This record gives sequence, structure tokens and C-alpha cells, in this order.
Amino acid sequence: MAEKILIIEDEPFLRRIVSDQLKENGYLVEEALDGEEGLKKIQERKFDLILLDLLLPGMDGFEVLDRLKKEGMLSKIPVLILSNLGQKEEVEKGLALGAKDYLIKAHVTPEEIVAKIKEILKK
Amino acid sequence: MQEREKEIERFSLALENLPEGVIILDEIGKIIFFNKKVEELLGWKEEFLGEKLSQMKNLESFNLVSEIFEEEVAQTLGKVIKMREDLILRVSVVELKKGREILGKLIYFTDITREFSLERLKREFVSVAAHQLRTPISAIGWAIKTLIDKKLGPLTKKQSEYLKEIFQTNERLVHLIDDILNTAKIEEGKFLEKENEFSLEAIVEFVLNLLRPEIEKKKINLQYEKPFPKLPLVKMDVEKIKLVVENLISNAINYTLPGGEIKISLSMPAQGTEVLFSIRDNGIGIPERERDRVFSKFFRASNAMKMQPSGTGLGLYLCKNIIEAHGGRIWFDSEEGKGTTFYFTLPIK
Repeated sequence: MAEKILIIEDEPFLRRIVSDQLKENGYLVEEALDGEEGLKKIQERKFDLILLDLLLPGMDGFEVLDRLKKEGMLSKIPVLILSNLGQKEEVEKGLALGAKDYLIKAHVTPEEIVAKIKEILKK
Repeated sequence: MQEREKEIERFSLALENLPEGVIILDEIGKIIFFNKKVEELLGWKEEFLGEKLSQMKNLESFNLVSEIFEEEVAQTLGKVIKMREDLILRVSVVELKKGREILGKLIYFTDITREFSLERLKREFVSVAAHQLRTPISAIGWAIKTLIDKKLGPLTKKQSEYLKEIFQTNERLVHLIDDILNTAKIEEGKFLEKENEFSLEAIVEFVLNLLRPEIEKKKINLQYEKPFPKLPLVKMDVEKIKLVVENLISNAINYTLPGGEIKISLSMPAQGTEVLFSIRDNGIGIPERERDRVFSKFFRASNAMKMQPSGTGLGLYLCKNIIEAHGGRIWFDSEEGKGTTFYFTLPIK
């Protein structure tokens, strides 16, 4: 069965490009526009991976990670951060909170995002 | 009043009313004078007169003193000291000398709290603006890449070429923003984050591997002189030194003609107090009249601009700041049309 991915991203065009690319690669994709919607969807359904932006309206990505960690969800669902925050301390904070990996939007192409997701799901 | 008395009175009134804080110590470190600004900013009281500065450890303003005297420097010029959250001073110390005799010390400071917070606001603004720019640029880059990869349908040869050009241009914007973020970061002063004992050799090899495709693409003959015996480890912020090495090697690649030569060497000069990195190319060189500005922010040499229009002029500025923050030195020799050699050192210990 196709694997299910949740994209939490507030920028519509970025969300669409990644979403299209993932669907093209045979994944099922759900979208959430902010942290709260994302958490709600995670509680309702089962996902195989979460693609998480950090700068989000309202609850930011770090807080989403923190909540997931506290609820013991991170051991079940891998989270890949995809953000334009990319200073060392931000990357370290994201990884320390339990994200599997960290990609900086401006430094990757959609194909590289898909490749990273494949790599994480294979493990 | 006698002329002589008037003269002394004038001097002391001038000192008393200066907008800067002034403290005068005698030859054994006793406080013999401080002005109104010192009272106002540090809360000193008259009974401090005649006390020895070094004995005032319980005083709130002692860290002003300890920071300066710790190193037992006779002179300090313009050292920025954070006294409290809401008080930042720029402090200088001058030895009062008559011939060879030391008569005491003059400490003076300016309140730069406001300047400092404006500067910080500016840096934060730059940092936020740069982050914000990254989002639309990512969107453009991703969309074009999707088109180039023909994910949305076939393209004519010309369409393909144009899209690739747009993608490259967008990549230039990405680099420019990276450099601006790094620069803003340097100036925040928190640039050296983690210092570890690390091997400069390992960094050079890591970066060379990273840049190998470009070196091969330009058919550049690269010589790398490994140090023998191995160099000692050096205390450094590994990520930052990596950035320096990458900048210097990329510059050498970019400003050398295809088929050119680059020679990198690592060594420890005889005194054994530092390690030395050098990179020599036989590229375009730096015009003589422009050499003074090589390390300035946003500077680009005129011939470099013609050869590689995409640089930002921040690379060497970053390098200089990073190396100097490590207590090292960075410099170069160059001859226009013949080539350039860049050097930097990092202190051992």
C-alpha cells in the first residue's frame, strides 16, 4: 500500500510543488496549513512521515515537534524538517527535538526532498 | 584667583563635566579622581576616593575593572564591556607617563547602550529579511527545476536553455542570501560557537572532495602538499574554518583559467606556534590599486567581476572576520595576470 505523507507548510505554492512531486512518486499526500491543523490530522489518521516547516502561523514547527515528542509519537512517525531557517543553532534544535533530518528549502530541489523521504522510509 | 589656580580649576571643571566617564588612578592604583558621569552611570560615591581599584571586588561596577586589568594591559582602546543588560560601555585605558615614569592611569568610557541596541536591531532586521527572501526564491527554484526536469511536459531546446539560465540566476540569489546571513551572524559577535580541537588537514581534504567536480570540470591541475609529519590539532570552530577553506579554494578555482594550476600547502612554521595554510593559483590576480580593499565587505575586483559576474563580495570579508576571531592572520600576494597566493594562520594553543 502506498505510504502516506503529511505536509505541514503554510506557503501554498511550495506546498503544491512538493505535494505534486510526491504524488508523482506514488505517495499519498495530506496537507496542513499550520501547526494546529497538522497536529489534528496526526491524531486522526496514521501517517508514515511528516514533512514539517518551522516558521508557521500560530504554533510553529518547533512546538509541533515538542508536542509530538511529549506524546511519544516521534518513535512511531519520522519527521523531516523542511525550512528556510538554517542557522546552526536552529538545525541543532530541530534535530535535538527528534527530527530525523533537516533540509533547507533554498538549498534543495524537490527531487532531493523526495530522495531524502525515500531514504528515511527505507530504514 | 591666581592664574595658575584658574588654570587647574578650568581643567578639573572640564573633566568633571565631560559627557564621558573619566577615572584617574595614581601609580599604585588608587582612585584619585572620577567625574559626574561615573557617579551617574556606575553609582560611585565620594568615599571611593583613595581606595584601591583592585580592592573593590564586591562593587557592582567591578567587572568593568576586572575585565580591563585581568590581562594587566597598560593600554586598552575602545573595548566594549557589557556592565548590565541596560548598560554597555566602550572603555579605554591609557597609561599616564612622563618620560619613563608612570604617574598613573586614565580610564575613560562612553555609554554606547543606544548605539548598540540600534546596531542589534539592524542586524536582526537583515537576518529576518534574508530569511523571508528565501521563501519566494525557493518557490521559484523548485518550480523551474520541476519544469527543467520535464515533469510538466516536454520543452523545446530553447525553452530548456532559458529555464536553466533562470535556475542559475536564482541560485546566485540563494548564495547572496546565504552570505548576507553569514555576515549578519559574524557581526552579531556570536560567531565562534563551538571551539574544538580539530585537524586543519581533515578540513582541507573534506573541502577538496566537495569541490573536486568543479576542479575536474575546469581541468585544473591541483597539487596538494600534505604536511609531514602531521600537523598538531588546532582549537577552532570547525564549521567556520570549513567556510574559510571553501571560500579560498573556490576563489582560486573561479579566478583561474581552465587548465590552470592551483597549489595548496599546509605547514607549521619553525616557531611552532601556528599552522599555516596557503593556496597559490596562476589565475587573473588582483589589480594593484584594488589590493587595499580585498577584505572589505561587498568588494569585488574589477577583473574578477568580468570573469565571474555572480560573486557577492562577501567571501573574503567573512574569511578575515573568522580567521581574526580565532586569533589568526590572513593575507595575500598577488600579481595581476600571473596569479594570487592567499595565506592564513591559526594559532596552536
